[in-house]
Amino acid sequence: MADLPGLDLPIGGLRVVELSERGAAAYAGKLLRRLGADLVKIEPPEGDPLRRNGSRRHEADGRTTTAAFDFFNEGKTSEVVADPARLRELVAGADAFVVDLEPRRYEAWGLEADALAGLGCGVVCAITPFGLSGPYRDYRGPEIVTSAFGGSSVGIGAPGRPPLRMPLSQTAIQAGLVAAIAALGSAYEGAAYEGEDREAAEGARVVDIAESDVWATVHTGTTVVSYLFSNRLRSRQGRRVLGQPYPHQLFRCSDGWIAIQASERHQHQLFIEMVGSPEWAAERRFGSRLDMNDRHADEVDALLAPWFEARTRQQVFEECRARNIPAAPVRTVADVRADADLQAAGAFERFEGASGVELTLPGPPYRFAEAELAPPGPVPPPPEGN
Amino acid sequence: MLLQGVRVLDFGWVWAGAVPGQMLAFLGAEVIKVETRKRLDYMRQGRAIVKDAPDTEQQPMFHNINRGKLSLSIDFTTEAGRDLLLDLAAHCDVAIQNFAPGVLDRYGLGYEALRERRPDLVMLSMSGGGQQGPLRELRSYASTIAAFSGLDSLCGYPGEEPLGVQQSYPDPNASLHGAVAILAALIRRKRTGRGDHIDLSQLAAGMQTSAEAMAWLDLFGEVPGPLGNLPPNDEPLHDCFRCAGDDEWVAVAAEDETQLAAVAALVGAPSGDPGAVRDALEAWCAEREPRDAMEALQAARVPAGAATTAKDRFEDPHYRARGAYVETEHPSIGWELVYRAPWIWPDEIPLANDRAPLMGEHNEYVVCELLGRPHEDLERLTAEQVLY
Repeated sequence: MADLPGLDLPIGGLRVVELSERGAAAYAGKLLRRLGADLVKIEPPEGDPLRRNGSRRHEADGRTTTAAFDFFNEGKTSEVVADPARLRELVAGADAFVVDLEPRRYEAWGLEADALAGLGCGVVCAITPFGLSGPYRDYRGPEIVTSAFGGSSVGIGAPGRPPLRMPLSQTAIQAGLVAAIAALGSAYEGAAYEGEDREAAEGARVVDIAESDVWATVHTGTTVVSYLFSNRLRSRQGRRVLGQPYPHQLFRCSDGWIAIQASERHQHQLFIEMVGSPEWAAERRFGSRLDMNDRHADEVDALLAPWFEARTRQQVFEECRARNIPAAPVRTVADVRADADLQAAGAFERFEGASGVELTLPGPPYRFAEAELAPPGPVPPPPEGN
Repeated sequence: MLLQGVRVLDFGWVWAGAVPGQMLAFLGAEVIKVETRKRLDYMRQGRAIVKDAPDTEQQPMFHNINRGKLSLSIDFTTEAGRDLLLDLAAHCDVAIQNFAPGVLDRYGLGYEALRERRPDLVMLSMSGGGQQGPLRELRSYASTIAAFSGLDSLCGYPGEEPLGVQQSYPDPNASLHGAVAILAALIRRKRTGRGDHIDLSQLAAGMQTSAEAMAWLDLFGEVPGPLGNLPPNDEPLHDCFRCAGDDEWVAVAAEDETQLAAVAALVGAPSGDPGAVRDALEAWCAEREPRDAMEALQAARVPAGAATTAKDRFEDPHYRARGAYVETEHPSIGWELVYRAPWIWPDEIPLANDRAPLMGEHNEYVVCELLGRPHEDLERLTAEQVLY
């Protein structure tokens, strides 16, 4: 047992094949590879489309990549496949095949619904914008579309102005997570004990993962019952959220913004004490923390503005920390990367991107006491001739 | 099949802590939620939805994120409560907790204590800043993770100051990362017989959502601000457009010239002039419901999606056809609609419980059936408010 490879990696030896054109399967592949999977990324001769589109493009010395492509694909081995028959060879016998084409692109790869079920691997996690069934199954869905249709955009932005999409590639990340869960859940059932031969599968379990469903269930699904019973709908409120006790928002300090959420009664009291226990806070109309938020927040914000604007966000943050009031400065990503505590905790790792630039990005968010994770590695270069 | 036969001791609470266990329940595991009236899960608090008085059984959030689980109500700050949970740990494969670091250890229920009773236990501990290091003391909610991770700084109208994401996105994001890690450790346990303790930082999980923007620092030497609905690159059309009705919108993207020409043909604009196409599309959308606009644009192979509210999703024919929300009967509310698993599995995976549990609904099952204790124990522990 001890001389078998990969045992210190949680899923060492698990065979996963990834075919990604839209990011989601690539994020699933990244998660699974770092956990120890033996991962092959399949690319068409022209390369994964995310190398050029869908995220901000970078070109240097004739080499091209995008920010999302580099983050999702570090450390992978990629194989160029032009022939659907070769794809089927690679997938046959794998524990999982994660794939995220737009619906019409499945046919181009010879992966119609019947074909998927006959691939002869453990599980196929078939990710599409709107799913493999339902009236919208053939619809296209870049991030701005799935974020809107899934119900996230409606809450981002200012009243009366356009809803804003979730920034960057959040749909790809969330659908990738769900695909990784489905792949691992399925693999758990089939996981062979060491020394056992894996039985050759004939069919495949096809799990239908719609990006819009991922938003509409675990992310925004909880709002449907609230609507049915209380007629309450989420709306854009700028820097706060309705239906929450005050404060649950951003405040402007002398040098930027800070998020404060004092949801519990004792936290609210500590918050009022922190801002100097002003007399107006005892006024009857402010008696309900919900009313304070939903009806009077602009007025309360104006009353508090001098207190906040006399302090930096770091000063307010420290005052909140001293009272155990949940708060955090709104940091740029440059602030985050410069954070000495995060650096000391080893939160960042370095690898070379596909355009030759060395990147410093967050590593996996978890550590295992007993097992190790696979290290980061360079992003695979584009197929020859591209 | 799948996780049937896997039992989970689920201390996870509020939102982020509840969902990893639910994902395991959706895969067939038996998940026992450990909770107490002494310190109610926040998700059991708030206004009742069909009664006037506060009622711990009338919280829709709770019903959604804890569907599929069983409930053991127990005060683990008591010695008898701790002992019972240690006995129960021997019957469990997985433990989940998202208290502040050190809380469970203080009550004799930390990883080391549980592992003594179940040597191959897989445990997930998820706190704001991880179990060790300088961020260990960080107290966080989803809203503060969104700010601290950099995500909030990217949300807002381009050229203006940030508005923030203003939803609890970092919670389920952390939960799903946690579920991935548990399943990986379970696979290793099945192959090696060894358990593990997973330390998940919710801040680090949040940073996965802003990592792409950190790559901008290296690739472009730029610190991104609010990105709004800006296209990723030079896509000719990429925004939300106002539709007929009160605050109704549709997202539309023309990712290349072909799609722009398709929009132009649909809305009657000269093609080749993105400004003119945009103006004509604005006028065209203003006369249509979001779903009608979405369907017409998609029929022309142009990516478009209504910006849905909960009402829209409830009424939407596509979500209905896919059964995104399922009907359940809850003893306190009656009929209600909750979200299903985020996938459609080819064969049905039976849930241990079709709805969210009532507080302590499964005390008898746990104490008498699983632990094989006499009924007198159940009654005594209930009277002593250990099972509480």
